Amino acid sequence: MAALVETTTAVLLGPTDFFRRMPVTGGIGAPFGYAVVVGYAGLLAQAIYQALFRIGFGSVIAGLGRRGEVGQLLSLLQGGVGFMVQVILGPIIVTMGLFLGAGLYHVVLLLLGGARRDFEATFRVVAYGHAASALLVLPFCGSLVAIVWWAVVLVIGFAEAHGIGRGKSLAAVLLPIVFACCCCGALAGLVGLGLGGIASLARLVR
Amino acid sequence: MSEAELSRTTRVTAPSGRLPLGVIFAGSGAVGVALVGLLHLDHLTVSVCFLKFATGCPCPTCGATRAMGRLFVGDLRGAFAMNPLATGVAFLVAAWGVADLALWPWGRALSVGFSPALGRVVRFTGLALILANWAYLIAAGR
Repeated sequence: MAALVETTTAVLLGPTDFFRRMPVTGGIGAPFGYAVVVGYAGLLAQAIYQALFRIGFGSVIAGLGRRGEVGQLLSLLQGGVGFMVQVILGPIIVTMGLFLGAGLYHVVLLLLGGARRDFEATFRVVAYGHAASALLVLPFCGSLVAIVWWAVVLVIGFAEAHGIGRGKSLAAVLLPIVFACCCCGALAGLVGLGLGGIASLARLVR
Repeated sequence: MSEAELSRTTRVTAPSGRLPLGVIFAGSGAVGVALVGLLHLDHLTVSVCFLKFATGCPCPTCGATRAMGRLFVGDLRGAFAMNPLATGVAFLVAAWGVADLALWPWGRALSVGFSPALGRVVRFTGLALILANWAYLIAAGR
């Protein structure tokens, strides 16, 4: 537990120093375990906040649901079934996101000529980048702060782990967000907000 | 490029103790395809693409979820029509997964390396394919 807190603090408060000292070989076991534990904790915190929000503003959300598709989408994604699925399948969701995310970033780094080291280096940066998930425990602004700091940590991490400039690293982080990942919204929603809500939505739109 | 030149510039190996990334990516992709098909995520009436929502122009991965839905029902032609590059990548990853599975009993995994010169060619070809695919998606109105 102490090591977990120490690693999280080091990544969040001193990412340059952390990634400069991080070995880029030696197996993915430790970073994988770290990412699943911290990522799942963040997912749980987010699910609990969503549930509390739903309890507090359920009638407002239900009202939105009657107004249009977007309202219906929000209503269903934040439903009770979605919460349970996030809690139960959280570790699987985090694991899939971790490997697919690392794979995507490594491909983008390869295309930009920035992958100077193996996939393991990219995987380690993405895994330790999950430290930003700890910020999800912050109420209200947690998600926004976590997303921004996650991007910052990845930019610094890729630059240090692959020995490339910050500009190229920034491009590798932003390109998938701007041009590609935005379109995998259905799957991203699935990962981030829970299968149950999507399943309900799928039944609705059929 | 002759076969001899290709063998000098491309190195296909199966080192032991290497992570079977092909199995991991193909497995994750298979789960994704199954979820899209079973939950009918390719039939959402709401556009989830930020770029398309903001500009009306599809992004390079628009149609990928629908391509996965077509793959789930075995409609290869429909999948290629929806997003040719995403479908091609899906087949490539599937082949990589099969190769890694075949090597698994020996504790080995597939590894492909390119010489720096061929690496540059592969990189530019990849970028060209992404742009060509994007142009197709815009023309097809995805």
